[in-house]
Amino acid sequence: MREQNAVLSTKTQENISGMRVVKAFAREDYEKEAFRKENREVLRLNLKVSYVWSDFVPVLDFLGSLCTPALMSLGAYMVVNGQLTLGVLVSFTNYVWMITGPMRNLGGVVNMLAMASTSAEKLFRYIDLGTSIKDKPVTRVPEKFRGHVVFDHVTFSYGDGVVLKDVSLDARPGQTIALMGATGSGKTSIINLMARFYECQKGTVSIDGVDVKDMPLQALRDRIGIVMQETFLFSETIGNNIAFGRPDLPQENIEAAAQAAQAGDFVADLPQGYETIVGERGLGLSGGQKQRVAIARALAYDPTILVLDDATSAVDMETEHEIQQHLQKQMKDRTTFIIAHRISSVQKADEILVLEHGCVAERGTHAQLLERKGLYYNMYLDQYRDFAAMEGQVS
Amino acid sequence: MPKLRVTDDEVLERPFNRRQFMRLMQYLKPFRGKMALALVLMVIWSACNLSQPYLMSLAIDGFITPGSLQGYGWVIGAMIAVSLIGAVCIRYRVRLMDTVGRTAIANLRETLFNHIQELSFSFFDSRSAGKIMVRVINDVNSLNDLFSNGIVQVLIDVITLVLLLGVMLFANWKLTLAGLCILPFLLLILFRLKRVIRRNWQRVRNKTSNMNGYLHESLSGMRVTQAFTREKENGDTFIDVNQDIRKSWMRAIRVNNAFWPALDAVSAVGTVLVYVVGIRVLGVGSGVTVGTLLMILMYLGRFWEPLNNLSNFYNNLLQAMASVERIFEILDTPVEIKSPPDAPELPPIRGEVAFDDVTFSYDEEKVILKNVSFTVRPGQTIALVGPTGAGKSTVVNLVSRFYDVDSGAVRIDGQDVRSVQLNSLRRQMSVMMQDSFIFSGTIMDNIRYGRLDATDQEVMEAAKAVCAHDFISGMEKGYYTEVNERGSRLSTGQKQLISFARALLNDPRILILDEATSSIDTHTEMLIQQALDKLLQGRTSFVIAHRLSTIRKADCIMVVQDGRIAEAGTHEELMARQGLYWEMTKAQYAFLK
Ligand SMILES: Nc1ncnc2c1ncn2[C@@H]1O[C@H](COP(=O)(O)OP(=O)(O)OP(=O)(O)O)[C@@H](O)[C@H]1O
Ligand SMILES: Nc1ncnc2c1ncn2[C@@H]1O[C@H](COP(=O)(O)OP(=O)(O)OP(=O)(O)O)[C@@H](O)[C@H]1O
Ligand SMILES: [Mg+2]
Ligand SMILES: [Mg+2]
Repeated sequence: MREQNAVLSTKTQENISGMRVVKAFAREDYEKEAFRKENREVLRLNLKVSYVWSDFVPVLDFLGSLCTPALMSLGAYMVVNGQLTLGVLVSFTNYVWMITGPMRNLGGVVNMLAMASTSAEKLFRYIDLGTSIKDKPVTRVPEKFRGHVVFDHVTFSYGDGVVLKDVSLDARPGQTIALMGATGSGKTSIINLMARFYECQKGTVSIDGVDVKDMPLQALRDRIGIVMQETFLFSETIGNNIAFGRPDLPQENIEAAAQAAQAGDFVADLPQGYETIVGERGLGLSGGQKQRVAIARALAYDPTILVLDDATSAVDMETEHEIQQHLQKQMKDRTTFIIAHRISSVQKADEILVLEHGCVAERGTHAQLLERKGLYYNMYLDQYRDFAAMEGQVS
Repeated sequence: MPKLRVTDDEVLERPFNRRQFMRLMQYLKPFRGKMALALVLMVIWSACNLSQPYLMSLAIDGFITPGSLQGYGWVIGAMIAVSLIGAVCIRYRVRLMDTVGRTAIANLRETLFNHIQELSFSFFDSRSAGKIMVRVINDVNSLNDLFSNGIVQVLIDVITLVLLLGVMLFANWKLTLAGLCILPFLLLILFRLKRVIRRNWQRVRNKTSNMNGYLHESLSGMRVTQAFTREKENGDTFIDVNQDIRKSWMRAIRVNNAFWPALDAVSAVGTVLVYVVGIRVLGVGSGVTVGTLLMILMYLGRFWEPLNNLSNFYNNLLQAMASVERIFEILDTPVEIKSPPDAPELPPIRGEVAFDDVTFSYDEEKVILKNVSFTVRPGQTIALVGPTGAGKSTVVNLVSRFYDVDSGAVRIDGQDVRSVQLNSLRRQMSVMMQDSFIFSGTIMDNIRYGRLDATDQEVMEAAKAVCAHDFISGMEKGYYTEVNERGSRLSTGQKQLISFARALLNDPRILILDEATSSIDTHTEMLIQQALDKLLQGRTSFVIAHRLSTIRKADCIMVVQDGRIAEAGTHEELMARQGLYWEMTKAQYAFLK
């Protein structure tokens, strides 16, 4: 019953979140029909419950009300025989009245208990899940976070199928590491391991010599700023979104971060500027604008390790270039991970890792990889060909 | 642009509004017969209920006091019979009224949901999914009491009260008046205290709804919260919100618990008055028998319930009016984007798309497109390029008529998109948006959403065309892998591929790809491109992309800047022109060097 209600909520929620797709495919009628089915099912179950009640309550009521005739029969007999005074009988009828009330309530209470215990069961199931990823009793923090990230023969799976196989990497403080590779090759998963959203099954991930599993989560994530592949903004003002990781950040730092992410200009253009409230998931902003706000959020966090997971996919190349230049200035004391598909985004990196099916297929600098004439070289050709064709036109 | 945060309060109570109430009652209209029957049943029940005290007094005065039990069995029998009839009546009434109420609720919910389906994008732009959901589920649910019990119960209570009063006055008007001396106090308690109680419960609901809003967003943004280690702050905020609820709850419950004792105390005074008047004032000789006394007291006891019900009803009504208002607000939101009633179906699209002096803005604050004009010939591939926020997505939003233009017109095959059936228009095009959306369900179902009658084979063909087949069949359950909302088991690129397959399956006459391959590697993208070249022969397509390789081969490249088409032409033409496009390309080239 409750379950079915939840289904209805979920259905509605999903329909509304996915409304753009629904409308794009003109599937309104299909959605209506699907909703109608769920709704009728809820109705059916509701009525079923209420019918059970309707059988149960009157019976209880009736049994309760039998007390009075029973009492009156026996009582009358006893009064007439002088074993009881009329007054006692009358007071008894009142007592009976007092007893039947709670008796009738008992049904409700039993029902309530049953509901509570199923709820409690669910609740405890969640509580007992525990956090699979939590601080160890004894944690260690590196003396100073400098951003030295080491993956040592890491193997990882989300549950079914290995996602990362024997991945090793060594990112020294101040370096920029680029990750490339086909869709689903495991780039995001590497980041997930670094920030310890998941834990690897084999090998170790360590930062500044300390295994991330030994570090307190708070301290670890406090030093890592991630721009996620899928932008999520809260329905809050743009300013608060940028300052999300550092709630006390002064306005000028917010603006500086926005500038660095090339978001300053468009935010300033908005009628309410930084006070503009953006909708759920950043509605009301264009794709690129959202991404830039997310980048600003990570920069405002001032992390030691900055992760840009496909963070400029919706941003034009020129803007991306400007963002990178800004970053370059600050990168000196910061380790940066860039995930991207454009050669132009990664070519300046100190090391480029090309992943294939969860393995590191190639690694090296731009120049080294070009020489290898492997996967990276092919990507380069794919993207460069266009330019090669018009060499004359642009120079 | 949205104006509300999730946690902004909503109005919880509205004064009684006759028009809205009558409008609400329309939803009960189909059930008039059932409701009448329920009413009859309840009148019978009421009569049964009221005859009990009479039978009691009859038993005492007629048999026990005189001391002869001749025929006493009949009285006992009558008592049992009356209880039985009452119970049977209750059973059927509960069934009838629950059926009526729940069905009316379900109907209302469907009406609301269906209306929401028709509403245009601008409606969803300004509201969060959570808030809309609360209307469809919670607000509608909160009318349940009103529908299932409220309306009929009011009539019954009034009838009961009248009957009760009549019987009591008839039995002994002096005692009745003595007992009812306390009525004014009682009414005062009922309606005053109840109001305070209601206000308190409303505060609780208000806080709870804030908590729900907060919870909803915190959960969707959990990833971000964890990444930015805001768990503690969020946890603290939640504790605050939760404490607010607890405090308001405790306050409410304290007032609430004062209610029954207060009522008991006052009614005890009534009881005492009846005794005093019955025994002391009127005296033994006045014909006030033990039975009568008992009967009046029992009747008096039955007086509070209907009164209490009535005051509850009144409070429920006020609360329901707030929900009703919110529901009707949505139902009254006009469907801005709809086809005229007699609009013709759009015949199979050839693929000519024309913008004729189009000006458009999302809201009054800012004009996004200014006097945009262009014509696309059937079968052409158009690439839209330009800086972020220039208005590229907006242009394609207008092609599929997700919004209506402020002035000018968008024409497909010479027909204004506003003059044809909306469904026939959108069915013939596929839009792949910037954010891919995955429904919970199997991958197969997700792709099939593009064309519901597609066979498994066709679904796989579409997946193959976008190079998704390999990774899907690599999964343990292949196409039958369950993905949850927003597809949390897939990588971002994989989600894009699935939405892409969905768009292709629809076999569109016009295909719109809004950064459809932004998260996909260049190699896969090239393979898709090749497949598309074959699949899309003779179809018009719009492509928005930032990668040069994706757009170079387009028949026409339009550079959108500041809401205008700054340049248009083929790659060669634009390069020769050495304008904006040339500069963009040059810059990109420079980065690569
Ligand atoms: N739903 C909306 N309500 C109000 N303003 C909006 C809405 N959607 C977009 N805008 C604004 O309209 C302008 C154009 O947005 P649009 O999405 O068309 O840009 P775009 O060219 O597609 O950019 P991008 O490359 O970043 O996706 C932006 O300034 C944006 O802030
Ligand atoms: N939460 C999850 N549960 C189970 N499997 C997952 C989960 N997240 C990702 N995967 C799977 O792990 C593999 C690697 O995913 P990952 O997100 O690391 O890819 P990626 O390289 O970032 O790809 P993209 O370029 O598309 O973002 C994919 O095959 C994906 O289906
Ligand atoms: Mg990824
Ligand atoms: Mg866009």
